[in-house]
Amino acid sequence: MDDYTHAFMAYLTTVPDLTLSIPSLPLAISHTLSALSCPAPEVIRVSLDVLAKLASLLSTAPALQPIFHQYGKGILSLILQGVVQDFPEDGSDEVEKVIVATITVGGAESEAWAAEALAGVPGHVLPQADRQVFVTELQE
Amino acid sequence: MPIRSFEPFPESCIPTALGVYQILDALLARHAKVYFISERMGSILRRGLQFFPPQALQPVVQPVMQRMASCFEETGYASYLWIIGKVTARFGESAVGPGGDALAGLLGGAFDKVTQVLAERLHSRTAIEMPDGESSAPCLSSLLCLACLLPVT
Repeated sequence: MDDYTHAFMAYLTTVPDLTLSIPSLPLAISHTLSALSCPAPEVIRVSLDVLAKLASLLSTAPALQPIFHQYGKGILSLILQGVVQDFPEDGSDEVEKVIVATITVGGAESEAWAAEALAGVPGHVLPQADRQVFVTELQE
Repeated sequence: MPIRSFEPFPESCIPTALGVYQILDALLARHAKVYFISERMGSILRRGLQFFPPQALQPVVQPVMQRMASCFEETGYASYLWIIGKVTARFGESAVGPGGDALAGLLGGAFDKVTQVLAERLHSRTAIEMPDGESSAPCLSSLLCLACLLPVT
């Protein structure tokens, strides 16, 4: 998965318009989310880079928005759970970009996505009070 | 100390890239399923991408991309996938420039194919179970020895 996400990143960086027109783009994003679930810091790091790159292309590639929305719930779930558990700290900039983009694309649905994602985090990792603070800030 | 390339690159050496790759391609046609060969191949091709100038590599791009995509389809080995990304990083700019349509089709087609192949493989195993090859130092002499064993046609 590491090599796939690196290849995906190379494509997005070098030939972004071409990459976003590839028929299997939804699958490519799905693979990136699969890679994000691997317990390896390097794989997580490059997966976050890919998602952040996609987030940066949303404004210039309208066709990407429905695909990003399609995976919005999964993206938010993996990102939020990763942030409170085992994501490398040097990925925080990319995490922020992805969360903002996902919430923007998701609109009102993103609150429900976030609540569901946080419900999956054990209570000893993320106390209920902290969950509520995040959801409140999200609503604002 | 490794030699990354020559500047200026000798004109007489321009055809070498294609000549060398024809040997490597013949090796892959027969032994792509051997894991250590996939690893060595990835390492050699990466160094070749750095060593040779674009005009030397141009005739190699299409056969490399097609071979890497088909080898990945056949084996699922990460090195073949890795080279696809490396070639795109090297030649992507040419694909978006004037006259780059054919190259763009080649690059896009290769990524589309490996994405579909990966999807099929993830039906039978999880992402965590997909091994990633670790780069190792090339053993060019061993590889060329193997190439010499290929029958002369």
